[in-house]
Amino acid sequence: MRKVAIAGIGFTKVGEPWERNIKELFAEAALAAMKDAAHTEVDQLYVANMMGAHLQGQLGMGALMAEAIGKPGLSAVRIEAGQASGGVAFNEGVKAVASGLNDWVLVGGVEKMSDLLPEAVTTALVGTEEQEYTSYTGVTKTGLSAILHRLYTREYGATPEEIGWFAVRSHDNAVGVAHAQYSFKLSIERVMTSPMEADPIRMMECAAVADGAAAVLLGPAEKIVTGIEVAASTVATDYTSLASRKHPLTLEAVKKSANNAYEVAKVKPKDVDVLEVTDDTTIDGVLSLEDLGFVEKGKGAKFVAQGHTARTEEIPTNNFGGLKARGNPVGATGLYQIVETVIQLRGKAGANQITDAKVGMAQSMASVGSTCSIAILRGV
Amino acid sequence: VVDIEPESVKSGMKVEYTFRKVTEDGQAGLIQYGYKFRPIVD
Repeated sequence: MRKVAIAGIGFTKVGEPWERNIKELFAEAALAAMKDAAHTEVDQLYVANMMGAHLQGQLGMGALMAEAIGKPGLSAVRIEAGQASGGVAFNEGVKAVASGLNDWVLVGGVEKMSDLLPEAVTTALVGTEEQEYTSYTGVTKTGLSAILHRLYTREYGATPEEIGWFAVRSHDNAVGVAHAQYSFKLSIERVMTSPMEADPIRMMECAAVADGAAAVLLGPAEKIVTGIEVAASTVATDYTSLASRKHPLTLEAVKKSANNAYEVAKVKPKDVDVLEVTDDTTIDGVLSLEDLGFVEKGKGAKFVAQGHTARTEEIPTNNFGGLKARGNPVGATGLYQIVETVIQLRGKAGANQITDAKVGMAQSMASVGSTCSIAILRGV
Repeated sequence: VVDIEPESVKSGMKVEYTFRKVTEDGQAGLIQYGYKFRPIVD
């Protein structure tokens, strides 16, 4: 297997740009990645997108985006793995380059959620759950997280406020971030007095509807010196239904993909300098931190509340605001996480820079953990 | 869960399957049925 390098990155500001369509968003990120790499040759295009088929009624996204970047005729396909689409598409790109099948692979993610009303978006978001078993009951993605939240506080004695701190930490890191959707500070009081979204999860604990696109250009490390190598890229799945899992508070897909990635990259959690996790809601972020191995099961909420994930502390997490504050344009989110990790490893994060960041990790997760992808990147 | 006030639902409570109306199609008025759970009354 060949070593894979990240040659270039590109992304749009996360927000609700009603005047722009998915092609424009995708092209902006993808062309920026090629420009950043100073390389325009592409052999394969992977388009990460979760809900375009529902929200825009758009299929055939591979061909459409090849056209959008001025490369009609290119081998291209859409990758869908729910909210983990971005991370899973990245994994496909890495495999294509590592195997020697392709030299230059463009992996771009795009999502435009603001085109439709909240009801349609909420329905699409729960689309990764089994339609005949879970989704038909009317439960939402946040509703499923709420079940885990209740179970977590009961089993481990954590308080809702400790869990709520995850949102505060994410917002702290988004201040001054030009591409973030919500670049303001958020107090724990504001989190805990915001309206109930799915009891006991409050509105300010949830990522909002967002539009955006992010892309990376991958190439063989033997042909391009970029300073950033893919140390590991893994994907794992779990039973989609919480009811089928042995222990609902353990996200097996996260554990499995993370452990595989640690083994491939030959690193341990303590070697990771910068981390991006999936905080679609606060409890998702807490459980992810635990199952990635950064803190013992049941102690994640306290760990976050005490500040151990802040910029200068033990494990700097969600360093540009995470899903909550940078924003969560679902199919593109996994690629935003990877792009942000590259910015850190390049030492170009400005006020958000983590000193001496050499190893970075990004975790992209679908729903309450039915799919999880891990990327470990290394500055070389 | 049906046949019980929401605040009376407790974790670990014994329930059983019951065949119930789930929803109604707004346009055609078709009734969709499925399972729900009700507390077991001794």
